[in-house]
Amino acid sequence: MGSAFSDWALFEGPLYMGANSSWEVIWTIVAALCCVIALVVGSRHELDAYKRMKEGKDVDSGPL
Amino acid sequence: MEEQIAELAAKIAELEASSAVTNTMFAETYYYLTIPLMIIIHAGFLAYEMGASRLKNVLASGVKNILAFAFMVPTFYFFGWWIYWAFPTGITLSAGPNGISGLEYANSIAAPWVEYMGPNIADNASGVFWGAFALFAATTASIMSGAVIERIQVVGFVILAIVLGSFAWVVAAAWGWHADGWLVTQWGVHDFGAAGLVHAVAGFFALGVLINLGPRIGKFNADGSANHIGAHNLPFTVTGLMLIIVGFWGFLMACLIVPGEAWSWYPDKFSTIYGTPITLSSLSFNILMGFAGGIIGAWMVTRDPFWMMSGGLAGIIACASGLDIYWPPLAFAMGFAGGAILKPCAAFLEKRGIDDAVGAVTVHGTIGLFGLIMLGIWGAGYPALQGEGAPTVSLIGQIVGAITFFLLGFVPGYVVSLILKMCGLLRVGEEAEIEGLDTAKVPVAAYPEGIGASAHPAE
Repeated sequence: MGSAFSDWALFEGPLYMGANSSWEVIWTIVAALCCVIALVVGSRHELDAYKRMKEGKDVDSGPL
Repeated sequence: MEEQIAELAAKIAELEASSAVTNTMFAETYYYLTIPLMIIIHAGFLAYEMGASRLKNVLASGVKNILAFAFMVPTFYFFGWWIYWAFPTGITLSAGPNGISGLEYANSIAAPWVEYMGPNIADNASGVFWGAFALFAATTASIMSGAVIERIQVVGFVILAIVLGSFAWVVAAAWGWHADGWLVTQWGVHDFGAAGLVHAVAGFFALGVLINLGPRIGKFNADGSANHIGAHNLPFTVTGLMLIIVGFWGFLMACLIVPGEAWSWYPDKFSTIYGTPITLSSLSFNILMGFAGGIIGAWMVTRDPFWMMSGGLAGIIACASGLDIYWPPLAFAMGFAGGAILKPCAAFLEKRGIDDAVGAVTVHGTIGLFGLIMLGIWGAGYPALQGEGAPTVSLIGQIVGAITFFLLGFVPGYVVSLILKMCGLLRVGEEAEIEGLDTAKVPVAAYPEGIGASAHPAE
């Protein structure tokens, strides 16, 4: 990514890294995937906790 | 002489440019400050829900509430903001009469990969508008969050929050708030403070979820009578409600359009989102009067601090649609009525087997529609939009809006929660519910040194 400009005083328009390039879409997809992965991991932990409680086993709620 | 005129003209141009910069900075700062004010709403909802939970579920309720906020931000960035600009004319995605809606327009300004959706020194507006709307979205999710505490799965809840906050209410806003919205341009719907398109949509979304989720274990007896499941920390809950009220000033402040910018309705005065004139003084008069009326009405009927503060919130919601045009004593009367009918409406739901833990369906759903419809009586004949030949506010128009908002909330809430139920992602395991959700899912304790445990049939 990066940028070719050298003087902030002359700068106009979008100043984020990867402006007007395919990086905008790539980072959007990465961010969306982070959300999906977090939900999948969270759901697996949650369903496992209910299952263990049903079976009368200890529940590992996380890193204490 | 000519030289002096040229010098004067240059000076005027310089002053105009300076004034324009000042106005732009003011506009950007104005909306920017509404965002932390609205975050106070979420501090309030967090305290409100955790206080309303039993000791065994305190932190699980907090985790759920915090996650709703966190997931709302990226999902509203990914597609919520785009929906708002794409759908005002309905599902055709065509451009509306003001030319600021439809597929092409939404793709150009609100798709998550266009230059307006990131740091851009040529654009002082998009980020703060998006931020304010993202906070509106998070508010809808928090409204639903309180109703379902103590028995909903976290991930199932987050999915529902995303559907509500980044889709359902956004469609309602596109239709009933956007200047190109078909409810506005065709039916003259006027809902300045979002009583219908935020509160009612969220409240009835929650109702759809509650039907599939079912009541907490121990809430109802075999004969159908209800037990009261008390808050473990009522002072915390009541304080949370007051914080929600504080945040509402930011919420309603963000419903105004600042003058003097290219996107403003007027060069010299505030307007509503519909382009009708308004002042911040209007809000001060009517928010305070509605708030006070709601508290007093609820106190008269219940004498319960929980319902009194809920009544304050209901009082504001009852007059939210017309905060721009109500006479303050009328706003007080509307708030009073909203506060007074609150608990009887909640009891009506409870008798039908609905376990709404904090009364969210009533406070936001029922009172939201009440306020929206009543504006059709009091405000009939007012132009609903700026401009020649604008449609006028009418009872029929407000009822059409109310039915639409009810359906936009209830149907997605019911259908998506039903699907989650069928997939086993809606309700927590029975053992976890009885033992407590903090034990099942949270790696820290709310009160490690212990406080007196509550006693309840379900514990």
